Amino acid sequence: MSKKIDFNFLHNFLQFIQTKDKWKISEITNNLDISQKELIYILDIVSQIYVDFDDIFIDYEINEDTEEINFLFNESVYELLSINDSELFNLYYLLTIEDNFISLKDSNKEIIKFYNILSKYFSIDGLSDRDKNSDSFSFEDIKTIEYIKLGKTEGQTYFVKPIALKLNHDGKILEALDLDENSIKTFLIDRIVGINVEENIKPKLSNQTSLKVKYKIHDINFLKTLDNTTYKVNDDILEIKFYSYENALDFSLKNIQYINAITPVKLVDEIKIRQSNLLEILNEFN
Amino acid sequence: MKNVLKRLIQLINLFKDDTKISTNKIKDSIPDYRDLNDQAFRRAFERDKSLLRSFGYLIEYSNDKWSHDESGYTMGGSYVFNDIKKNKEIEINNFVNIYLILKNNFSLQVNNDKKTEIISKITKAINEKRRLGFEYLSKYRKVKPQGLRIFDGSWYLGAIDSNKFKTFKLDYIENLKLGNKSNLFTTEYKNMNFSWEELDDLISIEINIPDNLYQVNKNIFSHKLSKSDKKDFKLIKTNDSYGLFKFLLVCDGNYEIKKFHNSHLIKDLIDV
Repeated sequence: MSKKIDFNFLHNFLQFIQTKDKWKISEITNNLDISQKELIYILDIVSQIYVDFDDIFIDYEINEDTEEINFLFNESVYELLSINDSELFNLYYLLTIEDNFISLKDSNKEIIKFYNILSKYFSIDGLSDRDKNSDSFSFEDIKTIEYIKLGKTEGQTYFVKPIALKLNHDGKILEALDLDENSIKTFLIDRIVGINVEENIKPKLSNQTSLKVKYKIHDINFLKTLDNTTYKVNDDILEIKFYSYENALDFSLKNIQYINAITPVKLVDEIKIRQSNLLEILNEFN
Repeated sequence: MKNVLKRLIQLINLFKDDTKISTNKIKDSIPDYRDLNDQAFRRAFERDKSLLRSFGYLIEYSNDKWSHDESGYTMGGSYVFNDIKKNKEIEINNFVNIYLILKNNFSLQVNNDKKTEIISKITKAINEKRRLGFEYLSKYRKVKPQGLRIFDGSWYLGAIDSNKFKTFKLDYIENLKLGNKSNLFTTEYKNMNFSWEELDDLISIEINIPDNLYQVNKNIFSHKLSKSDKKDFKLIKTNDSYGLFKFLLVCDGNYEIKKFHNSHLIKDLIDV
């Protein structure tokens, strides 16, 4: 079985099928991207659930001639399916700030209604204005992106095939296939500075090697902002493994008031040099 | 796995009426729990609760000492959707269909349990004007929530704490509890300004910096940008000295500073 049948999938399945009683089998398998075998497995589960004084939760009948399924839903199916606040919050956030979502919203009256309903519930400040000069693009049309990697100050060009737009703890993410390396990569949307600009291809700069960094901690509360699976603390020394030197440098600079790198020497020196250079620049102004 | 999925659906169904449910009733209502001894039931229930929590269904024990109600469990996490369902002017099927379209088109990979729970409780508290109590940097706070603010990829709660408006980083909030009483206050603040945004020590800087470099790093610090005809020239005003310090370090001299008012505030932060 290729699809992971977990609660999330089951929830999505129920949300999808409860909208009507009669379905073409292919309509369900295509929309949910599952095989017929997986569909039968999930139907087997939901038809064995009893609710409210042993009423069956969902009953179904397959018509093999017409390749259709007729469902008989218990009333509780409609009441039970819910959408959690966090999901609605994220959709509202994306509809407010993300170009692809904004263009969807602007072109569809029902999405505008959906957005207006949510706006009564969420009060968010600090959402940066959309850059009026930026070109609007369709997600599927992205072929190349110019991307400034964390810790770098210059962009490089990636030939990509977009897979998904995601929101995770790092922010908005474009997940895409890097066509040169044939591997799936994630790109922070905020660091993409050009799309489909192919006349000025900028080569990729470096190979990545992972790096362990040790830090002296100035503010112990800073640890609360980190995912506790990503770091270790021994004798008040914080140790974090980064997937590249550039990532480590970016992280170290952006959190310089809470932690100071103590090893490796190359990174410590780079941070000192950057501070010395800045001091030199600032000395010109009094 | 089949049994777990069935149990989770049965648990959600049990709480669908928005009522408080006692531990004994939960044990009696779910067939898989019925024949377990107390310890095994507790373990199984805690596991299922934790699994449901990761999908945004928050089953919580509630014991209000001032209320005559029996203590028991309630299910939260879908305040907004439940409230929308009650509104007869909203076509709920249309709403769900649009939600499904958006969800199918875009992957929302945000399942950070703690954040999911905090956002849900804050949303409910703001809308129902309830107080929030939480531990924040080792101190217990009771606040009147006003709204949320995003800054440099981090979320903050704007709230009134002892008659003063303050901002609290969500990452530092622990053991968040929702007050029992609703309609306790009015929402007064639309702008969730940080305290340092009100300070007088305003830094202004005239700088030539490649626009791409500015755009990808501008969220490192809170600032106002004055308009300019020249793309790479920026006039920046800020009170966020640490943020500006980090911005200049990250951009590593790929800029030319023309004027710098109050540059000593940045110099004081340099440690070489």
